[in-house]
Amino acid sequence: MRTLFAIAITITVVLLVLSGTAFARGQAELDEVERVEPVELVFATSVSTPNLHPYNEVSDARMRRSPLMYDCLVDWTDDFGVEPALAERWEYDGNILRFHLRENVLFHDGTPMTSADVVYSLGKVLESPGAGFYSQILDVTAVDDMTVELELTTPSDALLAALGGRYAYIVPEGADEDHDLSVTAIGTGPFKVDRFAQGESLRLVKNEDYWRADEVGVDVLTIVIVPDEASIAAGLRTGEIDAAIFEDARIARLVEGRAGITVFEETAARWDILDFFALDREPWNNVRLRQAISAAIDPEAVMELAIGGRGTLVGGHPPALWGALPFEDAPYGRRDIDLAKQLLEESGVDTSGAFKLISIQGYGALNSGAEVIVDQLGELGLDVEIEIMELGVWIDTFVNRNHETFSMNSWGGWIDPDQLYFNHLHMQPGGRDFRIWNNEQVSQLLDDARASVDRAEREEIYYELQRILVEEVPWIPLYSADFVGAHRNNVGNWGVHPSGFYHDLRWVTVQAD
Amino acid sequence: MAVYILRRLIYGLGTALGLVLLVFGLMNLIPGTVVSQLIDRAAGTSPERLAEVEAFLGLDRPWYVQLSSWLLDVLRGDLGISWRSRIPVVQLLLPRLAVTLELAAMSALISSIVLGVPGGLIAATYRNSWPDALVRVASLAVLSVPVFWMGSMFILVFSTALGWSPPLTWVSPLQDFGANMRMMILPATALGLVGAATLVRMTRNSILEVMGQNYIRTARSTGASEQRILLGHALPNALIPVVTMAGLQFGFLLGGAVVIEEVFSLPGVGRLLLQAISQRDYPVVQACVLTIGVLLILLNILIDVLYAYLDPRIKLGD
Repeated sequence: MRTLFAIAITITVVLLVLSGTAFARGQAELDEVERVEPVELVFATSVSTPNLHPYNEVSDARMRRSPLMYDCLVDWTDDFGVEPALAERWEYDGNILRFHLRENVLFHDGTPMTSADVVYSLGKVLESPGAGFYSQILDVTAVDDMTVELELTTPSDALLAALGGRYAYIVPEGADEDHDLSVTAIGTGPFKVDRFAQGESLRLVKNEDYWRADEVGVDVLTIVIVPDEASIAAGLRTGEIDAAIFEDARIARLVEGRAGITVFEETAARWDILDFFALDREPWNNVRLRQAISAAIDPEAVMELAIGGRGTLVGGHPPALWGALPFEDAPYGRRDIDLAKQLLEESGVDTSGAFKLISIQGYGALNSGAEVIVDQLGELGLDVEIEIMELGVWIDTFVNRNHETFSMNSWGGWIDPDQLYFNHLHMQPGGRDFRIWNNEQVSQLLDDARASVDRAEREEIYYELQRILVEEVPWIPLYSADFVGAHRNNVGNWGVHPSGFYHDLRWVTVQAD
Repeated sequence: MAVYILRRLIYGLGTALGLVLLVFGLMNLIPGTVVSQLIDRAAGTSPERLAEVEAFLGLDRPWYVQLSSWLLDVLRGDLGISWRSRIPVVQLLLPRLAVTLELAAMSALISSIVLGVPGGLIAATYRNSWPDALVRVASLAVLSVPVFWMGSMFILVFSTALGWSPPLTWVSPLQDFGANMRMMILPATALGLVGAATLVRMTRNSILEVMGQNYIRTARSTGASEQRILLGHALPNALIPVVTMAGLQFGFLLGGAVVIEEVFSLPGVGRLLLQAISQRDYPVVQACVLTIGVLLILLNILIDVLYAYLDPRIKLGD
């Protein structure tokens, strides 16, 4: 016994001495370290991607990271236009969209990019879970080594925008069979995968053969996953982390006003809404009831409690996306309890029973917002009970169009209004009409907007659509939550694309402290 | 002894199977499946697509077929592929197991040898005086605080007051011992403190009980010094129940690691398990639970054997 005890004490002492020494040495190294080559950007987020697969993985987290490793035929501009990427130029020829590819572009494995790779990649895209974004494509063919033609149902700028991200990444022919794209990436993008530790970090090193290599800001880009966002704030303060975007905007308060740190807030193409389902039956087919609820809700109060006011009020759709109807033009977008009571009376709906409002488990902002809505509808005389539904069950019910009441809803990441509206509101077949609205006029407008390649014309169509939406109220926009985060002041060229995808990290620079 | 160990191993196998059945049942009772995370609802996914994904994962089969198929694979040494990440479960699990075991081992060391036993010894030696009161109040305070809160406070205090935060990515101690220690010392201390609080109180009580025994009185009558009596006679005997407790606490530490790993961003089995549960990634959940369960069962057998070694009066296999 005594021997055992003595051994244990010795081990402890040795361990303590070693850890103490190591700690001191580590601290000293930290104090003395100077930023020399390679320049590294450490970007933190609490959201991890399950894998890196450009065609199979559906999470926003994967889509956000893909532009760092892959290129598309076109790239998105900050105002959701498109600019040349792997395609130097393109033209419509009737229903044919012809792409002329950029010369001398190399994949990460050193092979040159040709039209065969594009045909192979777009074939994968059309088999992916995101194929719905590219449904206008009928066929893809290689005309010659550097020219690809897409046969379309109709010329479509919505499709052109869709080809700038999400799933539309170009890999070498056979890459999905020859490599495990879940844990690595073989693209033409600005960074190569050095190490992917699922749920922990993604370390990327600069691709020196990148066709815009001169513009890439850092040699190493490390994305670290820190589940507890208070720890991200701590890392920013100590300099372990250079930049971060917070999922919980309230975390920004922990670093606000700190020397050497800048807190940023950028508008985003996403929103939280109060969504009406089962519009084909009582009571939700009653437009006066929906209007009354809309007039009873104060979106500003909801936004304040749900996301600490760090967002933008929405009229038709989020202003970060082009073609948005301003908040001021929405007739029911602000609280008017007298009007709400009048509309409710006109609706003739029996309000003696309780209404059920669904919110989604794990969505803190939605759940907080739902509480405010219940209070405000209480003043209207509606007895509303909240039911928190597990996300998987909610999605299953949603996809099968089985929701029977109104629900909080949150989504975004669009790069074109078509992606926001078409599947949601277009009648079946064509769209999914998740709310069973069966609105022919809306479906026609969506078809017209999809078939146009003139942005001004499309903008007019979407304005008209939004005027119908704010009048008929199939949903009530609550707010568009901004992207909130912070970076250290030695980080330059900082920007966040309104889609939330990490396009802009390509150009970020880091100066010595 | 060998028969005893064999029998315990067989019982352990049964326990592990029961554990797997329980977890499988519970996972199936939780609403929602992984399917909803494998479709892109923004792209207009249809019910037919949902059914396709379900069939691909084998979720359309009866539960007993799913379970037996998984168990057969495990017996063949195949833990399957993560439904969510499409990465083999073994590849996900093994590197994380090293992190969790290191964390639990360091915490156990801190809770028992660094804090628990010395704290109990001090409290017993200075019974009913201020050091005793201090140790008892401190241990009670630590026991009253949730481990995740303590972890968060550690991060806040160390980053705010001292301008120090642990490294963000884990490195093996063999690769860089210093970086590894800087990452592990705070979570291990936070976790170890909770374990130490129990051990302090147990060690104190155990020593006080032993100090009242006849053989201690006999030792005193021979003129032995108090130090010799305490360290030479009382402590070794008082530590026998403490060893059992310390062993059982290792299980608690493995459980606590689930929370602490999340707070300190440690890529261990606990964090993997939490992530897999939220994603309904059954193969990963089952593998994590099975691994932790088997570890605990083996540890319990080891403690029983150690107990018999420390106390010759105990005969195993009786």
